[in-house]
Amino acid sequence: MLLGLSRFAGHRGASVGVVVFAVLLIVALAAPLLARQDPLAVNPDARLLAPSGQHLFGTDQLGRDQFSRVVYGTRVTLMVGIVPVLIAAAAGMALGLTSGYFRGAADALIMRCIDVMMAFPGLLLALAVIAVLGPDLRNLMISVGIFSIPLYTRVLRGSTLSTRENLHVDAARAIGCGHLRIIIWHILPNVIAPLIVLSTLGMANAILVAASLSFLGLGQRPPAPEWGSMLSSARNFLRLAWWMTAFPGLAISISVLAINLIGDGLRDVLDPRLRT
Amino acid sequence: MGQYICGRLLAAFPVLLGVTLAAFLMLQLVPGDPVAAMLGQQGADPAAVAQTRQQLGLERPLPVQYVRFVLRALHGDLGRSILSHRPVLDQIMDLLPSTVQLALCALAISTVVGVSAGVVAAIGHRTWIDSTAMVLAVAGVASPTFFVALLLIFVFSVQLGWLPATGAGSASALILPAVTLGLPSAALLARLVRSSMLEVLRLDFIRAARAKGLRNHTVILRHALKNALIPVVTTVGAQFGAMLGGTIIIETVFARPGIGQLVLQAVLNKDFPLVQGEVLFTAMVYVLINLAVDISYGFLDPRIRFGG
Repeated sequence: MLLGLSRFAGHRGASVGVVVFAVLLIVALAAPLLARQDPLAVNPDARLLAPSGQHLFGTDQLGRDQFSRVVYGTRVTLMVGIVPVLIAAAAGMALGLTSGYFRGAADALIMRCIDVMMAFPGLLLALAVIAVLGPDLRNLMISVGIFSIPLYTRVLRGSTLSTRENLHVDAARAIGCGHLRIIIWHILPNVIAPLIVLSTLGMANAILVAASLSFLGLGQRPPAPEWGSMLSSARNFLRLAWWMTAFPGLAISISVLAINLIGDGLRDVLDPRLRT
Repeated sequence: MGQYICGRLLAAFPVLLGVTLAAFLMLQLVPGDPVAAMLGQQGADPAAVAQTRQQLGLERPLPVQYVRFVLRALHGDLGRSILSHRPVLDQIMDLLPSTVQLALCALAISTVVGVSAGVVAAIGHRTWIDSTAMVLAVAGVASPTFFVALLLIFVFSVQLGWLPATGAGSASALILPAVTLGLPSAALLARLVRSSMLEVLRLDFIRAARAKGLRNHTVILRHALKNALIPVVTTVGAQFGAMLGGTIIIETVFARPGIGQLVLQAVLNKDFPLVQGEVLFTAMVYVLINLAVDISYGFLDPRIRFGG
């Protein structure tokens, strides 16, 4: 454990990632303290101002302070990174473990369903879910969660299949352990490592997908501060106000990059076999 | 070989069926009454709603409706758009060429750029070339496509004025969208080719070729590259699929007509038949493309054919 921790700390990329992520967390939690101005306050006299001492990131077309909006947007972003991952991990665990452990008909059925879900290219699945449920933040998180389920299921099924062959599982079965006991005490601890790596990288992906959907107008409606929808408004003012595009965009990229670096670090520590 | 093809076809069939089921269920899961939504104003009148339901066969049990849905789809009838009243398939076919053009262009760009970058990075292993390339690749994957798109528009359109930002008429209008669409894929390919090349370059037959006295670039290009490209081919199907999904964003940002933009507008306008038809169509195409890639993979790598 300690060896793992020291290896992680030695991994330069991951350390940077952790620092950046910690900053994001602090920003999200301390938003009211950091953002002096109301992110929703419209100010017609202060439209499209360049970054300055008073407005660190400038203002948008309605005079709203961009810095406050980016700061408050951190909260939405983190939520939208975590909740879908929880959904996908929970469903993926249930489906993957069942599929990998029991095999047979359950496996075939589940994998066929997963194949169907993976048959929808890119954002289309998420889009379809929002089409059915309607565009708002809650449905955004549900849809990104559903969109991520196939990957989690496949990875967990793979880990379960290989763990199943281990000697200690046979031994447990030989002494009469019930299936549930075996799954919880023998299979689960061995599949946690890939799950953690996947969840971290999945969080980065969830943020990207959610930002994309918001950009397209399928997430939280304006005027709520959210980086994706901010970029959508920024589009029309590209010529006039580059700061409207730059800061939210950089915020997204930096967040995703940081989480990816953490995920890479975790992967190197927990399962070097997964390295590319 | 024939056995392999049959095997892939058989595996694809339940997926195709599942896709039709998913598309069918989509409309059933919409909260509220889609018929009322379709009728709009007249939706308030129960008699009109009942009559439309009868006409559309919505009174029949679900399995019957499903079968009719599939049969109609096989005949090319994907329903009618609520907004435009035109058949869904017609609307898709009108816009399909533009999207295909974009996707193919992006695929070409991503392959060329990605493979070259990967090869260069592998050759320049342990030098600044490798590190730079990898940093760019990682950054390329982390940045959201729409942000990259806006950046490119800002630099090449607004500041430099070299390329148009929107529209679809000319070849120059194709460049920015295709590059943006192809970049994440190129980054992925670069990483893949790099690690694949590095692995291949370590193998014995490369040492043999060098020992024979062959020039370095012959060794690399002729011998190493062919083998390193195998994993690239496997991801082509997935890349193309990701691009099909990515066209939704790209077409919106660059205001290009295409099926990506069509499905987005349909979702925003709650034009359910159009959404359903497009989801079905796109998913089908994606499954068939993956099937084709799987089969071609059998041709390229004999180990797959013979159950290796």
